[in-house]
Amino acid sequence: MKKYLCILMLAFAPVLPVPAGHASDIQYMGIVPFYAPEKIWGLYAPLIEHLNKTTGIRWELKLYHNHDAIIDGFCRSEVAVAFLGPVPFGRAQERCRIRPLLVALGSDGKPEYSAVIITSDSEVRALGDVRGKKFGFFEGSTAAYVLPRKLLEDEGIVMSAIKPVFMKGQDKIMDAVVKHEITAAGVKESLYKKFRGTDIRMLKISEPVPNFVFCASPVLPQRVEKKFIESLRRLQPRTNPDDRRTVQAWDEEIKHGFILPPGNYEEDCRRLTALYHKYSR
Amino acid sequence: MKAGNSSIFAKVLFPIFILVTGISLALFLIILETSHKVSVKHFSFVMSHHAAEANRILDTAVTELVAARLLDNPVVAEAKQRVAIDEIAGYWKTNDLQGIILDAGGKSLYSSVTPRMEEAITPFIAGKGAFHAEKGLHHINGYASVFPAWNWTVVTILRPVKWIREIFGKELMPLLLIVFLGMTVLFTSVAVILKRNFRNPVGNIIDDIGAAREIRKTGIKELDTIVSAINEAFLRLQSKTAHVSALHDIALSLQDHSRDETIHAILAKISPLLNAGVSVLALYDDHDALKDVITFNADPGSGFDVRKEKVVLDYMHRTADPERINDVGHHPAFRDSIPAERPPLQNMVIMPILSEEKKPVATLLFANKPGGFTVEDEHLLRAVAADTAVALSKAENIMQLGRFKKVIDSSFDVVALAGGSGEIEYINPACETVTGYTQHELAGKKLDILFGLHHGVAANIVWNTLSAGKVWRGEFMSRKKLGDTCHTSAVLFPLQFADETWYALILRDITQEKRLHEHLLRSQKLEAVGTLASGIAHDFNNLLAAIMGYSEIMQSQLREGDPFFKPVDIIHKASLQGAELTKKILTITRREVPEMKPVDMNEAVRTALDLLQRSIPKSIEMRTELAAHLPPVEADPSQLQQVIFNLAINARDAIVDTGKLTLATEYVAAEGMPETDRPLDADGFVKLSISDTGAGMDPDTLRKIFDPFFTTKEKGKGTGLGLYIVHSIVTSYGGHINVYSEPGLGTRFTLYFPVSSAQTTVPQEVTEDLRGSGTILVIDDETNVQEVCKDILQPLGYRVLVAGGGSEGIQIFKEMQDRIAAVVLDMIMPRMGGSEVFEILKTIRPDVRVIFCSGYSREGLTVIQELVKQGAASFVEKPFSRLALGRAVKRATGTVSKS
Repeated sequence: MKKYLCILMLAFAPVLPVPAGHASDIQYMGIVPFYAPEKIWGLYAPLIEHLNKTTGIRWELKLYHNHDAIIDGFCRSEVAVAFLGPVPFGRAQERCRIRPLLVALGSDGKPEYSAVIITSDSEVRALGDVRGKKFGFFEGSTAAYVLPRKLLEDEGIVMSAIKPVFMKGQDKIMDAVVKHEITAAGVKESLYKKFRGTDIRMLKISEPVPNFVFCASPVLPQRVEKKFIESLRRLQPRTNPDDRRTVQAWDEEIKHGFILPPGNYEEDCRRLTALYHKYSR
Repeated sequence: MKAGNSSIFAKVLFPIFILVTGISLALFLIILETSHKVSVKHFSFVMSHHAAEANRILDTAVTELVAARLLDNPVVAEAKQRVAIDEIAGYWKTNDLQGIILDAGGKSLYSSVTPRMEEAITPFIAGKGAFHAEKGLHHINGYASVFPAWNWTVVTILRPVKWIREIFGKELMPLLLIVFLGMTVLFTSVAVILKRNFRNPVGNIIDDIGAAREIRKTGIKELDTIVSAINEAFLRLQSKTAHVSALHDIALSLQDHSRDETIHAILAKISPLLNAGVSVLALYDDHDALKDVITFNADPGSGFDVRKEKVVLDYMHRTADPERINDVGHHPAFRDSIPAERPPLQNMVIMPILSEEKKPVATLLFANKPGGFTVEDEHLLRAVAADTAVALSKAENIMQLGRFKKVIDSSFDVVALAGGSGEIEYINPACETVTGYTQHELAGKKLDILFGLHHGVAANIVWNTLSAGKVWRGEFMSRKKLGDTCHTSAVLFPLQFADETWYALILRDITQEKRLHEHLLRSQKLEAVGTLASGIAHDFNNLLAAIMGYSEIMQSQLREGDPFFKPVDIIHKASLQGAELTKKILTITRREVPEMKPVDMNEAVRTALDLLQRSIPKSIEMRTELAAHLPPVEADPSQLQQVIFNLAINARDAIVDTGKLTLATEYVAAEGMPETDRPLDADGFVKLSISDTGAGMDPDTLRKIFDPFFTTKEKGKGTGLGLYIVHSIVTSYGGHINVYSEPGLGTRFTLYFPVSSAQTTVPQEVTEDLRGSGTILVIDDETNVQEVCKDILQPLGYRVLVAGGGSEGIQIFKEMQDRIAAVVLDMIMPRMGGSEVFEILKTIRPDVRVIFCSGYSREGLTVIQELVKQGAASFVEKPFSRLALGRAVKRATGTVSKS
């Protein structure tokens, strides 16, 4: 009898629930979909491998097709950690109790970045020239929606003065600008810099805003959180050649190291989120 | 113009409208069906394009996954799928599309359609390719495709549209508008063409017909043919209408015109219609002789006078049937009398006019029509002749009615005619005289208003009588407009006109007759009283004659101091007073021709006062203010007495308790009289004033006091004739009366009598020898009178024979006629009166001397004068004195000379 019972338990062992805190737990990480899924997978799969090695915890990527989906999944604890821009962070924080863990540093070592309005149209010499032209947005994005709206507003250009074109991701926007499908658009400055040397020109740059952040869902175990922070804070790619090799294949947004969130980070994020709501009405 | 089922609109425009509408609908349906098919194909093409775009997005996703070598990575693949779905959804949204994405198991990965629509398109999903579904009013165009890499089914759907929007959508609408506009233009063009070429000309024709003028040409051959036909018919109709109108005018002219006016109107109306130069109407009387000829010459200057053409008049008279002669010059009837070359009448038409009894009463002749008379003219004249016959008859009736109306309007009696409801329809002008109401005021009023005080029950009796179809006769006490009343005699009777009952009233004012009748009754009463008084006076005088005679005889035989002298003297004076009293009574009651003679007014007043003393109560103070030396007035003393008596009695009655009655006389020169009252030849007047301090009279009463029978006294106390007699007497003397009265103060009557040019004769006291001789026959039925005559005459030397009646006296006279010197004959005796006896005595001895005596003469002074003329010697009034009888006998016997 005991023999049959043991066989039955072995047969159903893979489907039985695993208690939290065990080494066999999988922690899911969500990445804000500012790129196409396969690109995010390519750029963030090395990070997952790094975490798997350094934390002793199994991490896996979970991809979402838009900002609403990742905020929704994050707050439903589909993922334990998510990498979000300041506006999605602010929006998620409005819905559930999430915490900022680590803020990514830019190539200049600062935890901030700027958005730029770019164009490939040679006739557009200043921001005011975009009136009546196609302008690309990525809805929900800080760099590709909120900040460009702010820059246009500061220039006195309302939405009805342009022809807005909504696209799925900043790399799609860049692609459209390169192909002259749209006249202008707003993207992260770091992304723009990748296209230096082409005919893409910057028309306006925004004030710096808080950089992307890894944040934890309410269900993230303390032990995992600690290991996660330790794993990433230990990396000093700007100064340590080994670490620089480690992050070589990583996305530009995360390959310059991390710091703990500054004291005004959440406040700055909320201010940007307020702008998002204003422009979304 | 109201469009009926037979209007142009109903017959032409409406069918065209229906046709155009039908064509429009057919075109509309064809366009709709064609456009539907085109749109289905169009949508199929469009939808295949959209489906291809969705597949391209999915292809790109798979390609990118393959390029990234992550096709088998479920995490990336799932994310990529979600991104692709998002991108397809965005595409659909951007292009106003909807859609469903199903996975290989048919599970919905994405859907933007409603469950109802999803249910509607489910049958088409399996079929793949383009599809067209209809759900209620909605049309659904879609395209289902399969993405083989993931075995997804992608259904792209064009947002469903309602078919109505499809019809009137921006693609179809212009086409429909073009069709609609085209049809509108077509219909309008047809309408305009019809209006211009049909309705307007027809409208003009109708307008011309409506305006009764010649219809204008339309320029359209077929219509102009109709127009010509209508115009010709119109002309004929106008001619007929003129004839009918003329006949109508003639019929109208029959009213309220005289015969000559009517005939002139007929000739004047028909002459131009026939275009006749000469028009004549010859009238015949009841004996078929020519009575009158009335002519109407169209050309007054032609000088033609049918009266001079006897042959024409004779021919007209002879013609019994209508005759038309268009060549008078060669007609056998005129061949010998009218020059054929230049006849005064070239042509003529003659139309006898017959009365209802088919008797010829007139003949119409119209002549000298250019071109001659036609059969139609003759037909017209037949109608005219009929009208003329009626006109003549009517004119005669009108004249007759006019005469009757004049009689009725001139009548002094009220003649009224009321309808069945009793309301006055006609009343003659006499109503104003009789009732005070004008004709206008009484028109429409109930006939009862003329019944006066006899409303109510009495009126019901009248109406009940009339309703029974009987005549009502009677009298009314009618109340006039101003409230005064009058007696009327009325006759009411019903009249039946066709089915209507009318009521006639003849009302006569009989107030005057009533008064005269009452006057007659009173006069008869007075006459009876007078007769009674006269009879009493006669008998009384006979008694007084004895008393006076014997007292005088006794007085003559007694001397003063004798104890019987004074008593006899008193008896004698009493007898004289009695005689005076009876004389005055007779004066008042006597009815005889006034015995005009100069009268002393003062004496008349005094005499009247003697009588009045007995009639005026002591409470009334009687005063006289008689002027001395008054000239006499020419009057009958008895009438003068009556005047004074009547006025004084009225004054007495006017004084309620105490008061004054004053009688005054005065001479007034002619210059002192009011200008209007003064006779031209008067020598002045004696004014007699009788005034009282009685109740007086108001102006209204004052105005009527001299009317006969007007009295303010209680019934039975006054005759209403007193002042009337006074006025009659005074004015018959050429005098005048003034009255002044104030209510509460009194009344004064002032009478002016013209002064008489003669002087009053004052009887002189004479002492004469009354002695005589001879035989005197006294015939008197009163023994006392016989005896006193005997006792007066015998002492005077006469032998006296007496007879108690006429027969006895005649017998005595027969026997002793040669010895009887005179006869004293009483005028009034039983069986045979004095006049009769006188006649017989004259037959016995024509020269018989007769002295009539009487205490009362029924016949009065005129009879006595007549008897004197017939041979009577004289008249002695009873009671007579010794002197009067003795003088009369002596004068009759011829023993004293006449003085």
